[in-house]
Amino acid sequence: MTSRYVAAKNVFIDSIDIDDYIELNSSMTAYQQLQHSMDKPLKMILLFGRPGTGKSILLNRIHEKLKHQKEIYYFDTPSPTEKEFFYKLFKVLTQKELPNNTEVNFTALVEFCKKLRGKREIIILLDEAQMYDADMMEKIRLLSDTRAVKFVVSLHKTEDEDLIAKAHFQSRIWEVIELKNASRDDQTAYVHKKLLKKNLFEIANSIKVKDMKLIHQVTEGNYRECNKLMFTIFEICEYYDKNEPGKLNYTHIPKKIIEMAALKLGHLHV
Amino acid sequence: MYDIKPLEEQWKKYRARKRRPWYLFLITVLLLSIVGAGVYEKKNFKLPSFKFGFLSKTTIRKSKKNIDIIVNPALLTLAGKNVVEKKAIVNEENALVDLPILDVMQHTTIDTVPKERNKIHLDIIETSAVTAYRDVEKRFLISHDVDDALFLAKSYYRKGNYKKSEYWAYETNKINENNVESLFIFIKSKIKLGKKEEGSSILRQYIKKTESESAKTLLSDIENNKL
Ligand SMILES: Nc1ncnc2c1ncn2[C@@H]1O[C@H](COP(=O)(O)OP(=O)(O)OP(=O)(O)O)[C@@H](O)[C@H]1O
Ligand SMILES: [Mg+2]
Repeated sequence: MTSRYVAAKNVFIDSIDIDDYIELNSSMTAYQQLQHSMDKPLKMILLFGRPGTGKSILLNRIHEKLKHQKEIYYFDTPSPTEKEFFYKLFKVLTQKELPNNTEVNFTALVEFCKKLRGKREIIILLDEAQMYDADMMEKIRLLSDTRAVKFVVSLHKTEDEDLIAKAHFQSRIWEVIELKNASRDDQTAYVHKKLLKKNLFEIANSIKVKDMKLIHQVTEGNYRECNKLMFTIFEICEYYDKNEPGKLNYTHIPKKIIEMAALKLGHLHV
Repeated sequence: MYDIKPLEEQWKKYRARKRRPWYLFLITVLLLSIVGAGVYEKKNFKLPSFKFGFLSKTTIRKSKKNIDIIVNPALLTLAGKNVVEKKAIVNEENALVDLPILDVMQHTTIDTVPKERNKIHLDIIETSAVTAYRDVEKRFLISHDVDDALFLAKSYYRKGNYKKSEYWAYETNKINENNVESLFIFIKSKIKLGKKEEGSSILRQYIKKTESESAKTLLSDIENNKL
C-alpha cells in the first residue's frame, strides 16, 4: 500500500497549474489591482516581486479569467532569440502565420499596430521579462507606444540584481504592482486549501497553527520555499510511515519532522 | 528516499544546541541563587553583573529588528518624475485618453534581507550523458536547487551552448544573488553571444560595487578579447 503521504507530497510539487490556483487575500488584492490597471489607458504595467511570490500563477489566472472577454495573450518564458519572439508576436497581432523563409520587419510591424489602434485592444502578458535584453525591451516599448498593444511585464527582483542587470526596466515603467511574501494567515490558508483540494482532510488537520508559525518563520512566507518545505516534510513522513511508523503521529505532524525538513533544506543550521 | 539516519543525527545536534542556552540559563540561575542565598545571609543584596547581561541582550534584539529597507533609487526618482508629470496634465481631463497617464507609484519595498543558507547535500556528478542534463533540469523544476542550476550553467558553458549557460546562470542568480560564479558565467555567456557591451557594463557595475579583483581580471580579459 502506498503511504497516504505520497499524495500529500505531490500536492506541493512546484508547478503553475491554473486549476491549482487558490484565492488568498494577497493574491486577490494583486489580481484586482492588476485588472484595474489594465483597464486604464496605460501602456506598460510592471508586476514584480521576489522569486516564488506567485507572479507566474497570477498572470496565468488573469489570462484564464479574461481570455473570453478580451484579446489577451500569455507569453511564458522568453523566446530564445529575438527572431522567434517577433515571430510569435507577428502571429498574435496579424493572426496569420509568417510565410516561410521570411523574417518580421519591425518597422512594418509598428506601422501595422498603428492601424489597429481603436479597432483592437491587445493585452500581452510577458512573464520572466528579466530575460529580455535592453534592445528587445526598447522594441516592446515602441510597440506599446502605438497604443494598440498593452504589455504587462512580470519581472522578479532580488536585492541588487535589478540594479546591476536590469537598468533598462527602470526608465519607462508606469504602474508598479508588487507581490510580497505571504503573511502567516495567507500561508496557512495556502497550505490547508492546497491539501483540501485533493481531499486530504486528515493531513490538513494534522498541521496546526503552531506548526504554521514555524513553517512561516523558516520560509519567510515565500510560496516556493513553502512548497519545498512541505514536500520534504511529507517525504520524511512517508519514510517513517513505511519504515518506522512508531515515530509518526497521524493526528499531529511532529515538530521534529518540520525541523528535520528545514535542516535538510538549509533553513536551519546545526 | 534518501537516508534518514544522518538527518536524524543532525536534528539531534540541532536540538541539543538549541537547548544549550536554556541549560546554561538554568545552571546560572541555580548558581546565582545559591550565591545569592549566601550573600543574603550577610545582608548584601548587590548582584550587578547579572542585571547587566540582560540589558545588553535586549539592545541587540532591538537593533536587529531595525534592518533597513532597501529602496531602489532609480524607482524613487521615477516616482518623483511621475508626480510632476501628472500635475502638468491635471487641467486637461478631456485630453487624457490620448495622453500617457502616469500614475503615482503605489510601490513600497518591504523586504527582509534573506538569511544565509547552508547547503547540506550535494549529489551532482560530472557527466557527459545528454539525458543527465535533462534529468537535472527536471529535478530543478521541483527542487530549485542552486547547485543544480549552477551545474547546468557551468556544463553548458563548457560545452559551448552559451544561450543555455546564460539562462542557467541567470536562474542560479535568481536563487542566490550573491553567487559570484553564476554572475561570471552570465557575463561570459553574454560576451560569447556577442553582447560585449552589455556584458562588460554589468561587470563594471559589479566592480564599482565590490572592487572584486577577480572581476577586474575578467574585465581585462574581456577587453583584450582573451576569453
Ligand atoms: N495564489 C496561489 N495559488 C496557488 N498556488 C500559488 C499561489 N501563489 C503562489 N503559488 C505557488 O507558488 C509557487 C511559486 O509561484 P510562481 O512560480 O508563480 O512564482 P514567481 O513569482 O513567478 O517566481 P519566479 O520569479 O521565480 O518566476 C508555484 O508553485 C505556485 O503554484
Ligand atoms: Mg515565474
